[in-house]
Amino acid sequence: MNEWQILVVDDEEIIREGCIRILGKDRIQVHAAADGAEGLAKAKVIPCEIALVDLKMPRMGGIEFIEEMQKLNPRTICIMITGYATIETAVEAIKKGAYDYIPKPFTPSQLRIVVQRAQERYRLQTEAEEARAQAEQAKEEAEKAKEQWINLVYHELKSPLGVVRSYLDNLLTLSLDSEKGHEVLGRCLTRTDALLQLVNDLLSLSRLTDPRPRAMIDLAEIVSHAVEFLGIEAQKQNISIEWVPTPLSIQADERMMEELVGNLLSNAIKYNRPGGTVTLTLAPEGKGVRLVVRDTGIGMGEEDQKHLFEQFFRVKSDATRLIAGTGLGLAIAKRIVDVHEGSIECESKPGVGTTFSIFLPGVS
Amino acid sequence: MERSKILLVDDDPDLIEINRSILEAEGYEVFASYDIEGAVAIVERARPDLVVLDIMMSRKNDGFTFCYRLKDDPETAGIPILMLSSVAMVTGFNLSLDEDHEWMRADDFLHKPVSAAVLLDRVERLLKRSK
Repeated sequence: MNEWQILVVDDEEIIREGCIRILGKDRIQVHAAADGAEGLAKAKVIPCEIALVDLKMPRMGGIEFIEEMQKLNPRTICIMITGYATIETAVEAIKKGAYDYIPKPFTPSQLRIVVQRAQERYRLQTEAEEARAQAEQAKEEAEKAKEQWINLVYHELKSPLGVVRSYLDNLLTLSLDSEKGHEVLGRCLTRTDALLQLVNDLLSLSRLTDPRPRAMIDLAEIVSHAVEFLGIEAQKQNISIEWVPTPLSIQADERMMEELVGNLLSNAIKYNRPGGTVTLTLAPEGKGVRLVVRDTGIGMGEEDQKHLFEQFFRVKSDATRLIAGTGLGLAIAKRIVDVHEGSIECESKPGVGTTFSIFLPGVS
Repeated sequence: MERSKILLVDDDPDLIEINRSILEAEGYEVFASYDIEGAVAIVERARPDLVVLDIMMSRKNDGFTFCYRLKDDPETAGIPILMLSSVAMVTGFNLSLDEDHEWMRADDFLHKPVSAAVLLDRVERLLKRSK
């Protein structure tokens, strides 16, 4: 705020002059009016933060002025000036919108103190308004985001169901034993499995907001289990997994760590080349640990890397066309890492491979 | 009689497969593309008689851009476009051809999933109209 605009409405010239003299300095501009009508006319043109108003004036009294002022500019802080300070008039003035009053005659410092109180009040009022507006906006944005998310989920759930339905419809005209029939059944299975995975992932995602007690867990053991479990799938695609376990414990949610490692390893295998490799390393770093998952897979460009951790994002290319995925694996991984106050980064080169580097603080 | 050429554009390979079977069984010659770049190339090369297009191709809503592109080019403006999508739910709009025709620039519009009978019927009508 550069300059305060203060309106003084009093039929006594001596009061008006007094206010101008006492208050008119740098950062305060005083506007004077001899009666209510003139005061309102000025207030219409100059928005004033504070108005000093005499109670007893001819034609339009102070209280009536304050009522009109509230209608004109509800933000203006009104102070009653009165030679007849009684409890009744004070209460009435405040009910009608006055914030404070100052009895006549007043000393310069009394006037300054009242004005300072009004300025403070105006500042708080402005802060409250801004906070309220921000909260409104945040609420609107959250509503919109939620609706968009729901629509996205709806779409992701409906698509595979529509596809399976159309295929089944088609199947009515085919022999289940025919080659084409088998193909169609195979695709139905793939899409149905993907849908089941999606439902599970959605559940995971919704559960990741619950804070859970953490224990000291051996992250290396979790990696070893994941390697063992997913190793079967990797072998089918002729992909080798390199992992040398050395015990390393951190404080974390065990289930979440299992999911984190599982998602990253699964991706590294899915998006790899036949005969390719996945390398996992786990080592202490500073007060925490660093887990690196590197694959010799198809990789991805910079544009795709930007959207990598977004929900439902999937790289769409000829190479990835038939790879099943929900688009939630990395969104879940990122959420898990965030919940543990860690960090996750990705580096990738098309045709070469992708590396995910995760840092987790050892003790939260 | 020369077979009518239909271009399918959709990023879901299963939907391409399903619609291709339906249309080929009816005697149409079918071209397909999973993305807009491929679709543009096919339009140039093969000059299809009709395009069946998925609006929600990706988060960027390429479908609309492709539509505008075809309609703005005098050489391709006459190719009828049948739009398929569940985007009505994704963006929260309830798209209807009557209200949104200007904006969508498509010739017809269907919500997925589309049955074989409905697809064939619309395709036939659009081809007849454009001849």
